Amino acid sequence: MVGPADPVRELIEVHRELCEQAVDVLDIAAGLEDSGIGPAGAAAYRHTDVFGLAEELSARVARRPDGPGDPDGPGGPGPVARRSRRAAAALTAAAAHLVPVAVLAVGGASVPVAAAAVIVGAVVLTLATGRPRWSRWPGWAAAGYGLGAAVLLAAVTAGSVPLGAAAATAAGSARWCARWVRDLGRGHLGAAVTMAEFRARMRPVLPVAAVLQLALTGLWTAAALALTPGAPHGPDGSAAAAALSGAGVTAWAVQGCAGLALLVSAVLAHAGRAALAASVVLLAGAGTAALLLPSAQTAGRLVCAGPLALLLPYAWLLLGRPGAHRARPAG
Amino acid sequence: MRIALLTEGTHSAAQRGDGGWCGRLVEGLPEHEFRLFRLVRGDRPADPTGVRGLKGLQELPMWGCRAAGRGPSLHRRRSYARAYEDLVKALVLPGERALFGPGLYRLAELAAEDGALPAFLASGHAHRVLERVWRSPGADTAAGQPLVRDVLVAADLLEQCLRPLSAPWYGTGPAGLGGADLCHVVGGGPAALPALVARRLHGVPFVVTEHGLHLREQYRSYRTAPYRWPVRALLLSFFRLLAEETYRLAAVLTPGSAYDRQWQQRCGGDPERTRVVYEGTPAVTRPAAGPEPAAPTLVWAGALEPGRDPELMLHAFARVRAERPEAELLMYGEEGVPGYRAHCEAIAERLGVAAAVRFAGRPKAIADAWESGSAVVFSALAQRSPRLLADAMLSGRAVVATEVGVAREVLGPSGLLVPPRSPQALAAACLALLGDQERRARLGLAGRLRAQERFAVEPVVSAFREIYLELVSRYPAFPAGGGEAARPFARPAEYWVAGAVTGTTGEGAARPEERGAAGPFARRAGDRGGPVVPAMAEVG
Repeated sequence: MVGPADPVRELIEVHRELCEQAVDVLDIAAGLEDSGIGPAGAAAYRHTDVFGLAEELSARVARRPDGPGDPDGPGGPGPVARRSRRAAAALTAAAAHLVPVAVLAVGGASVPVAAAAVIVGAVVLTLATGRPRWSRWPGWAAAGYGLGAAVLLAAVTAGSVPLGAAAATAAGSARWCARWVRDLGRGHLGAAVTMAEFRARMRPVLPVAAVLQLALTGLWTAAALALTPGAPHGPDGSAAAAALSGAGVTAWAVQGCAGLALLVSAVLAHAGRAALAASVVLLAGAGTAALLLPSAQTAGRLVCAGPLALLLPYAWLLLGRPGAHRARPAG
Repeated sequence: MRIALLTEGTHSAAQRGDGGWCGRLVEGLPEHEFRLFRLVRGDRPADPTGVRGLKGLQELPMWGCRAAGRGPSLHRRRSYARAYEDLVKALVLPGERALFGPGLYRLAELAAEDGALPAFLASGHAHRVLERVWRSPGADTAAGQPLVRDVLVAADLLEQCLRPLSAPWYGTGPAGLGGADLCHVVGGGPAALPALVARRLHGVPFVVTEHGLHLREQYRSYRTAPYRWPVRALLLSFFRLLAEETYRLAAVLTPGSAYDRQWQQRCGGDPERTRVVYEGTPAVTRPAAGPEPAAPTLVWAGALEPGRDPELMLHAFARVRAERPEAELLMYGEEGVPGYRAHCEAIAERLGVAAAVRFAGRPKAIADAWESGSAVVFSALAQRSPRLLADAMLSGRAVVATEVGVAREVLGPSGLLVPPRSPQALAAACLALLGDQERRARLGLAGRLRAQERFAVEPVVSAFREIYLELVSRYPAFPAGGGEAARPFARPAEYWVAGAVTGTTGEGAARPEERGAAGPFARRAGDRGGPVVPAMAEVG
C-alpha cells in the first residue's frame, strides 16, 4: 500500500495544540514521547529520532498565543461577590469599632471607664483584625492596631459621644474604601500590559479613595451630631446647622485625621505593610489622646497629622508597585 | 574521600524506604565520608532522609515563602541588577544564551558576599530588569508578550529556583562544599546549582546521576501548570539552560537508562563522559514467583491513567478472550485520574469482558501481583523509568510491553515488544505467550537473569567506587600552583582515599594530618582570597 506523500501532516493535525503551545523543540519531543512515539515511530516519519521529528513539527506549526481566558491562578470571586464581601467587611469593622464607644457612652466619661473601654476595645479589635483566616495581619501588628484604634476611639468619645460613634463608623467606611482600592488594583494587575501602564492606572486611585473617605467621615459626623437628642437648636430651628457649627474646628480636624489614618492603615495592611499600618493608627491614637490634655495640644496635633502626611504619599507610591497587590507569591 | 551528595528533597526516589538510592550508595561505600545537602520544601516539615551513615546533613528550604532578609545596599544593587540582567537576557534572547553561566556565577558570588540575593530577586528593581529585558526587541515571545502579572509570577519562580545560590554551603570548612573532594548531584535541576557554584569557586568536580530526567519532567509538568505561555517559556528556558550548563561541566554523567542518555546528549552531554548506570533495586534478591495460576491470566500493573493506556489492554484482552474464553485479566493500580477506573470498567462492560477482568487496586506487595498471573503486560504510551519493568522481570514471569521509552533496552530479547496503540499486535503477543508454556518459562527465566544482572545494587556501588576514584585522579592536587601544566595521575588514587590509615603503613600513605596540610584543604584555603579563577583545566 502506498502511504500518503506527507505522513507528517496527519501527525501535525493530531498534535496541533501541543505544537502551537510548545515553548521549544524539546517541549514537542516530550509531548510526542508521551503520546507513544519512540524511535520506531519517528522512523515511520523518516526521522532518526524523536528530536528530529519534533524539529520538523516545530518548524511547520506556528506558535499561537494563549486564549484570553487564561488564568493567573484560579479566578477570584466575581464582581457581585466582591461587592457583598466589601459591604460585609465594612459592617463588621464598624460594629467592632463601636464597642469601645459603646462602653464609654454607657459607663459615662470617667478615667476607670475610659481604661475599661480601651482594654475591651483593644481585645475586640485585635481579635476582629487578626483572627480571621484570611487576615494578612501578623498577631503583634493586629494587637498594635487594636490598641491604637481603641485609644483613638476612646479619646474621641471622651470629647463627645456622637463624634466617637461617627469615628467608629468611619472605620467601617475606611475598610470599604481599602477593599475597593485592593480589588481595583488586582483588576488592573490582571489587565495592565506594562508596569508603567499599571502605575498610570493606579495613580488616581488612592486620592479618590481618600477624598471619598473624608467625605464619608464628614457625612457620618454631621449625621451623628444632627441626630443627637440634646443638641442645641439654632435660631432658625435647624438642628444640623447648629450641630455643625457647634463642634469646633479641632474636633472636625480630629475626625478627618482619624478617618484618613484608618484608611491609610487598611490600605497599607492590604499591601503587606502591617507594621506601618499598625503604627499609623497607634500614633493617631496617641496624638488624639494628647489633645485631651491642655498642655500637649501642639504635640498632639503633630503626632496626629505628621505620620499621616508622610504615610499617605508613601501608600500612594506603594500602590503603584505591582508587587504590592498580590496575595502570595506564585509557586 | 569527602563526597557531598546534593539532592532535592522532593525527589521521590531518594525518599523511598531506607533512604532509597542514596541510602544504598552510602551503605555500599563505607570507605568514603558522605554529607547530604538537601533542598527541601519551605512550607512543610521535611521527611527524614532515612540514609544511614551520613557524616552530616544540611537542608535548604526551597519553594514556598521567602525567608525574611534585607536587600543589597544601594551601590551593590547595580552589580546585582547587571548580573540578573545577563541571566534574563540568556533566558529570553535566543542570541545571548552564552550569558547564562556568567550571570549565574556572578549572582552566586554576590550572594556569597552579602546574602542579599533572595530579597533582591523579590524586589521591584528585579521586576523592572526582568520586564525591560523581556519586552526588549528580539526577545522570544512567539506566542505572547509578557504582561505585568507574568513578570511577577516569573520573578517569584526564578527567585525560588535560584535560592541554592545563596545557600550557606560554600565555605571551605569540612562541612562546606569547598571542603569536599567531589559533589554528587542526584536528580539534576536546582540541586545541581550548588555543584556548579562549588566547581566555579573551589574547583570541586561533580557527577550527575539522574533517574528520570528533571528537565523532561519539567516540560511535562509545566504543560498543565496554571501559567501563561510567556512564563512557561521563561522558566523552561531556565531549566533547559541549567541542564545544558550542568551537562557541559559535569565530570561524569550517569543517566539511569540509555533513553535518558539520548536526552542528555541532546542537551549537550558529552558521550565520552556519559556512563549509563541502571538504578539498582534490592528486589533482585527476591525469589522467583511460584507456580502459575490454573487459568491463563494476564497481569497489568500501573496507575490507571490515559498515559498508561489501560484501554489498549482491555481492547487487546477482548481479542484474546475471543480466542481463549478461559483467559482472565488482573489490573493492579490506583486511579491516577479521578473517575478513570469507572471509565475503564465501562469499556470492559462494553467489550463484554467485564466478567473476566478484575480491578484489584493496589497490591499488598508488588511481588504478589506478578505471581498472580501467567504473563505480565505493559501497555503504556510512555515508559520513562525502568523500575516497574525490571521488577516484573525479576519475578520470572514472561513480559509483553509496548515499545516505548526504556522498554527495548530493559527487556531486550527476553520479552515481547509490540508497537503502542495496537490492540491486534498486543493481543497476538499475549496469545502467543498464553499458548506456549515452554516459551513463557524460557522468556521468564531469561528476563529474570537479565534483570538480576543489570539492576543489582552491587554493580551500582562498584560503578561509583570506580567513578569516584577515576574522577579525583583526574583532578590534580595543585591546579593553580606553580604554573606547570597539571599532570594526570600525578598521585595514586589511594592518595585521595580518606580511609582508615592505621599506624604501620608504607612510604606512600601519609598520616591524615600531613595529608590535610598538603591535600586539597591547603590548596583551597590558599585559593580563597584571590580572584575567582575559572575552574581548573580538565585533563585526561
